[in-house]
Amino acid sequence: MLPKRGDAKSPAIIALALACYLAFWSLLIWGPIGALIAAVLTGHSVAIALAVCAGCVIAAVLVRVVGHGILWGHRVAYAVVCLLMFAATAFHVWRALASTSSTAIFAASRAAVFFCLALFVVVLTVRKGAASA
Amino acid sequence: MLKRWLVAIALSFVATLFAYLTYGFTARNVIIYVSLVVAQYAALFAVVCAAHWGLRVYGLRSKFRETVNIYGIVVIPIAPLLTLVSLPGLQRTSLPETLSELYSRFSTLDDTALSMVVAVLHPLVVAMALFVFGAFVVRISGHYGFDARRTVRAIGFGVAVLTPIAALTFW
Repeated sequence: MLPKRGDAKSPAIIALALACYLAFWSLLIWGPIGALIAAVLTGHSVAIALAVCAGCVIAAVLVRVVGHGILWGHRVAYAVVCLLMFAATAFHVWRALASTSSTAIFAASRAAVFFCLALFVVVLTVRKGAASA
Repeated sequence: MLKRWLVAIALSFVATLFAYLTYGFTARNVIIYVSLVVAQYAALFAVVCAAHWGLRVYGLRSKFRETVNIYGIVVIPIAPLLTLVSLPGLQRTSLPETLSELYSRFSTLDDTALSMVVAVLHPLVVAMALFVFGAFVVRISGHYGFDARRTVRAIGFGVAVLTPIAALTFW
């Protein structure tokens, strides 16, 4: 039985939210540190490193908002995750069609996984009688 | 608890021995493979420590022994699959080589059968691992009576912040 939307006891919803919070802390802490280290090692300008840091922080805030929305059962958050999954599917399908041999298999396998995840989130989003938080 | 872990480690040695044989396991390089198995258990405890620390930081009174038990119960069923798929990457011995391997895995591949299998299984394993970790969070919040949302934030914080430090220290 699929979990109800907004049901914070569901492992599926917890997994989605956990991915968001892992991405949030990684982007907030390790993203800027990695960008600065890469800038020092590769000799890129400080401006580019700072721009990457700012991008990481903005992305972290967005991911945090989505994670919070998932935990509290907001439909918009699920829709955002859905769109991201479909976008990733489309990207990998395009990559599979544009490449040959093992890279095509590589991209197609990821496209299949992202498509299944997208369908799963669609079910969570439109589930009839879903609980509102 | 110690007896259970000893049995689990012994079983993992036996189970992974056959996989190691296909990677050129001999009596001469046995230490390398023993150290890899030890590294896997060190990684397991590092993740548990990170989750435990995150819960403590968020004011949730986690008991380390019980958290380790719950994590073991949830993770052990998927661990053999994760190990088998991770074996090619585990053969790398240094951080730059491992990062290089990860980068090449995400960009280009050779045409060997092993690379194909790894490429197809890897996203499935990542998705499964995420859902298994979700089950771990649910069990933790249910066992201790913590709020599930707060538990997610705490474990997300602990694992994301502490695990990379542990990994870098180990390497």
